[in-house]
Amino acid sequence: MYSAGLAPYVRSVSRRWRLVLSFFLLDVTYALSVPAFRADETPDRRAYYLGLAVPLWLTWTLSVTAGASLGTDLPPAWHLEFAIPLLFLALLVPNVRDRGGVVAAAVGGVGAVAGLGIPFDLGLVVAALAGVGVGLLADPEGSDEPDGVEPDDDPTEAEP
Amino acid sequence: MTSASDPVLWAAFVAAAVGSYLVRSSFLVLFRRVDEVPARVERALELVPAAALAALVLPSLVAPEGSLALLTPKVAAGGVAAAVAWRTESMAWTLAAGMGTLWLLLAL
Repeated sequence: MYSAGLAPYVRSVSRRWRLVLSFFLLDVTYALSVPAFRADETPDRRAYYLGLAVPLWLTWTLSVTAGASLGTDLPPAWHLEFAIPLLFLALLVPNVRDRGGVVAAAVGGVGAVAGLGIPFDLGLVVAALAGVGVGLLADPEGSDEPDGVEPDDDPTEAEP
Repeated sequence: MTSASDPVLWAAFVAAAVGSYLVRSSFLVLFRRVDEVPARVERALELVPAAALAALVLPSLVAPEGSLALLTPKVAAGGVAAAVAWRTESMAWTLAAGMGTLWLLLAL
């Protein structure tokens, strides 16, 4: 899904480089680069993407190594595992941009909770696809407001 | 720690890495063939981050152990973090608010 989402924005990049970009395609690179590309904030998408992805990948690899060697020494009472959903939350919120996004997020989230018993995390995949489908039905056009505008108003106004 | 032998384990790692790479590169490589993305497909792709990220986040907030638990410090901390994420759009503040709220509630 990330691959399909990113693809329209990097069609100007050569196939060889797209193979390189694929290697770094992770939740964070996807969630940060697509809004920037959509808002047309960056003149050189390949450079933007790599500037985002390479430091992330290095930090990630180093952190995983550090975590694997001292992971069990960290006190569970710190609840560091809670940082993971918080990170995804921070990525999620700017990506809910219109009514369709609210619907997609609601269906995806609730669906994933409902599908927790399904093996191999398939519930998550089905829920995400359902979220996209229902969001598309609820708001086929999306808003045409200029991109890059910060939602600076009361959050409740964004609800339909 | 594990009963699988080292070669088997490494073969599994390599298979997972190759599989993951193929999936991630699939559309990026194939999309070139389609010159113009239909508007409806583009709109569907726009909704992917909201749906996919919400599907990742919500279960770990309301059912961290696998079963639904709504009145927990994690749900409250997630709510605070969501509000902060909305106002600031800052990853650092979102993390700080969420972890801070969780620690505070657990200490009470």
